[in-house]
Amino acid sequence: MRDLLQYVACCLAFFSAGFLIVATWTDCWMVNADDSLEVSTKCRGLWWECVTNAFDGIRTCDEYDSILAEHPLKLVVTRALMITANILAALGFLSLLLGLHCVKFLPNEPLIKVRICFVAGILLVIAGVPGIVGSVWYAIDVYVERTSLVLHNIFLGIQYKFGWSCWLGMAGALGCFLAGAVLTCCLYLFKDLGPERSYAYSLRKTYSHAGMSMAKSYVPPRTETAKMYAVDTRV
Amino acid sequence: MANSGFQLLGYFLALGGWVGIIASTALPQWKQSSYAGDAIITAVGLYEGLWMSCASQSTGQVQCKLYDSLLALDVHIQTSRALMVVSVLLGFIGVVISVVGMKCTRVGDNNPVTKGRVAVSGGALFLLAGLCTLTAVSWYATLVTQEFFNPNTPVNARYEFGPALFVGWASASLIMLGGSFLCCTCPEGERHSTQQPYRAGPASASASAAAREQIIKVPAPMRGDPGL
Repeated sequence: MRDLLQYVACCLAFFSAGFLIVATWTDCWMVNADDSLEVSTKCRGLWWECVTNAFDGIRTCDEYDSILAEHPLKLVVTRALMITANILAALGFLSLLLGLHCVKFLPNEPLIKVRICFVAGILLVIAGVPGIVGSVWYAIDVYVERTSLVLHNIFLGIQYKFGWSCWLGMAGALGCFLAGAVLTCCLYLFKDLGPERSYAYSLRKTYSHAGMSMAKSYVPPRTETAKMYAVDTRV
Repeated sequence: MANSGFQLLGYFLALGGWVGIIASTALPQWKQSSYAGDAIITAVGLYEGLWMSCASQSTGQVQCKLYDSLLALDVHIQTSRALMVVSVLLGFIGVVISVVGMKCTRVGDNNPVTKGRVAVSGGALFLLAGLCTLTAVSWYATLVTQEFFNPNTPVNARYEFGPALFVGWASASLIMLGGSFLCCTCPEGERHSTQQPYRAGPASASASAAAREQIIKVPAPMRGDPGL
C-alpha cells in the first residue's frame, strides 16, 4: 500500500512539475475571446505575444522588451512566482526519486528514506503555493480587466480570456498540492501498516513475539527457567 | 565489471542526450540563412526546421509557418522527421527499460542476470536512437552543404547549419556514450554460463544444464550490489 502511494505520488509529482514548466515557457496565458471580431488567435504569455492567422497559419511572435524595461507588475511577479514554483517542484521530484522504496539509495536505513519522502512532500506543497498564487492571480487580473471593459460598455478592441497555459499552471500547482498531501499525510497514516521496515527488523520482531507468547502460555516460574539454563550450560 | 555508479553515469548521459534529441526535433533552426554573400540582408533572417519555416525580423518579431502539406515536402525533410521521431520513441523506451535494469533499483532483484540483460537492451536502444539521430542530422547537413556549394544557388538564398543541427550532433553523441556505458555492464552470469561447458566436460546435457543452473542461481543473492 505504501509503495503504491509512493508511486502514485511520484507520477503526480512528475506530471505536475512538467505542467508547471510547460506553463511557464508557453505563450498562451491569455487568449482573445471568441466574441471579438478577429480572424486570428492572439495569445499572450509571460515572455512572448503571438498572433496566429486562422487562414494561412502564419504565426507571428513578438518578444516583450528587455527584462529591464517597464513591465506591468502582474507580469513580473507571475514570472518570478512561476520560476520559483518550477525550481521547487523539480527539487521535490528529484528528492522523491531518492526516497522511493525501489531505489537503492541508503538501503539499510528505511527511516531516513521515509524522511526524504516527507521532505519531498513538503517541498512539493511549498512549490504548489507560488504556482497557484501566480496562475490564479494572473487569471483574476484577466477577469477583472474583462469585466471592467464590459462594465464600461467598451466592446471595441481585444478582450482576453484565460488561455491553456494558465489552466496548465493551475493544474500543475494542484497536482503538486495533491502529491505533497499524499507524501506527507497518507504516508504518515500508513506508517505503522508498512510491511517493509526492513527484513531484519520485522523478522526479529516476529521472533520476539513468538517467544513472548510461548513464555506466556507456559507461565514458568523463574526458578525453572533458571534450572533449564543451568542444565544447558552443564551439557 | 562496471559498477552501479558507472551505470548511473551512463543513464544520466543518455537521459541528457534524449532531452537534447527532443529539443533538436522541435527547434525550427535546422538551417538558417547565410550572410556569406556580398549583399547582406540583415533586415530578415530566415530559418527552416523540420516542422516550420520562420522569418525573424530586425524589429524583434518572429513569423513562423507550419509546412502546409505533408506529401509535398522534400524527401529529406520527411525522412529526417521520421528518423527523429523514431529516435525520440526509442529513447523513451530505453529510458523506461533501463530504469528497470539498473542495479540501483530494486525491481527484479532476485535474478540479476535478467536484470543485467534488461540494462544491456536499454543501452542498445539508446545506441539505436543515437544512430537514428546521427543519420538524420548528418544527412540534412550534407544536403545543406551541397546546396551551399552548388553554383546554381543564388548567393543571397544560401543556407547554412543552424543551431538545431549542432544540438542534434551533441545529443546523439551523448546518448550513444550513455548507451555504450549501459551496454558495458554485461551481467556476470552470462560469463559463467559460457565457461560452464568446458568445465563440465563430457557430462550429459541435462546434467550440465542443471549444473549451469546451479552455478547461476547460487551466487545470485550474494552478488546483489548494495548500490550507490
